[in-house]
Amino acid sequence: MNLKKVLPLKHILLSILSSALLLSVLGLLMQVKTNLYKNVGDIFLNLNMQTATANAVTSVVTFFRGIDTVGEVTVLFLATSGIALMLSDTQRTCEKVVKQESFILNVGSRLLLSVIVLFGVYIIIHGHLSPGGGFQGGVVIATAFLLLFLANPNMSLSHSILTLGESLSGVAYVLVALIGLFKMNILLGNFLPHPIGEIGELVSGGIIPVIYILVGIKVGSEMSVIVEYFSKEDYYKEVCDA
Amino acid sequence: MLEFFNSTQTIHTIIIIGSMCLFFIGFYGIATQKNLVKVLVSFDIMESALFLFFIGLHYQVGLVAPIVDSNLKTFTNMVDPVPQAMILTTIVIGLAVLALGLSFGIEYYKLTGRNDISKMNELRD
Amino acid sequence: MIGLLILFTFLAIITVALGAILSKDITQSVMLFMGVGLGSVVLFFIFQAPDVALTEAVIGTGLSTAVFLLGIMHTSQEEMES
Repeated sequence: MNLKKVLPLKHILLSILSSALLLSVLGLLMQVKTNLYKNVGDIFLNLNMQTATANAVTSVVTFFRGIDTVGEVTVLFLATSGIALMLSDTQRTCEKVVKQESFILNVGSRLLLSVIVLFGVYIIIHGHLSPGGGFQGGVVIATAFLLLFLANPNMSLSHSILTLGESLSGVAYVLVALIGLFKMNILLGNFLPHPIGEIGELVSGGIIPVIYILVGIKVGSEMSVIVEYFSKEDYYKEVCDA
Repeated sequence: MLEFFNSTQTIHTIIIIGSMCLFFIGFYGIATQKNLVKVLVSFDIMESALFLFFIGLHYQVGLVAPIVDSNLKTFTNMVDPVPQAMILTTIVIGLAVLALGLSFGIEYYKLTGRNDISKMNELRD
Repeated sequence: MIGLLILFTFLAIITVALGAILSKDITQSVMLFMGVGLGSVVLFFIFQAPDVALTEAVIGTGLSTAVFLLGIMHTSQEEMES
């Protein structure tokens, strides 16, 4: 039992380096007074009653900091394009072989698909009333498609519908922002009626639920494409080996 | 003793020490591990540490979540919603970037048959 | 009480993260990484951030683990000898 073989010298030196960095960072951070940064949040919380949204996080994501969300959705789109470039199979020569699938798994996953998609849609359209919203609901919908791919490897999504939904929701987001610019003189202005008395109802908040539904469609289609590429990859490999 | 643990200052100290320990565990993993997937796991541990740091430092004892309901009519005495909104979008970006990195790794493995980052010397010659 | 809960959850997360880094088996490492996400969900809920907790529950413990497991199907399973 040689200690040098179990724990090489390089690992010991690197752990000492990590500990030294940790101690120096802690020495800096312990001197900071930690409740200095409440000002912006207080301003947004005071303004939040005017947007008639029950969930303040939703109004920050889609209204006060809506430009950030546009950039975030762009980053998501670029990452999905990179994955499609890396994992798409344009040069494969082996032909498709129909793989044996289990009947019980197939039917069960189809039954569960509707329930999970319904739950995702519920999370999306209640984003301005309760915790949740477009990002979470879109990923829940993508997990439903992951279940479908695991149970039935011959399944394939229609890429034309996904592309159409993804690009139309992106264009609609920018259009909503531009209509707000022309009618209210600010980008992402809330041009739909949003009376403060209706706070807590399903139809309230003006454009905020509309924007979150568009974000939900975009995130859901992009995450479904990512999941499809990752599970199809294994399927193609097995088929080519056989 | 329980009052000591319930004060905001103590909770912030626990959060700073714990999340920075987690961050440098991830740093150690990136520095020492040689498998591509292990390096990505270390990246995600560092990411989780930063999320905990951001959210935790804006929590104070007695504040509630920034959502009104039938009992709570005004937006007062609530935690800061801005870091929550930023971390919310960052988590989704993190998943997409993780999938992009894994797809690079898969393509590299298909081309060379290796996933050891210490033997990546294709550009040397 | 709430401080002790935060302290113990942080200790559990740090232990699980060390296990994920030091484990020789990659599948085991990914499953232990799921534990980091699970502890993060508890902490986000204590910090009064239910939106972030819901996101982390869906992504950190669900889809991220699935993407990792589908990814290590295509790269080799065993850890290289360091």
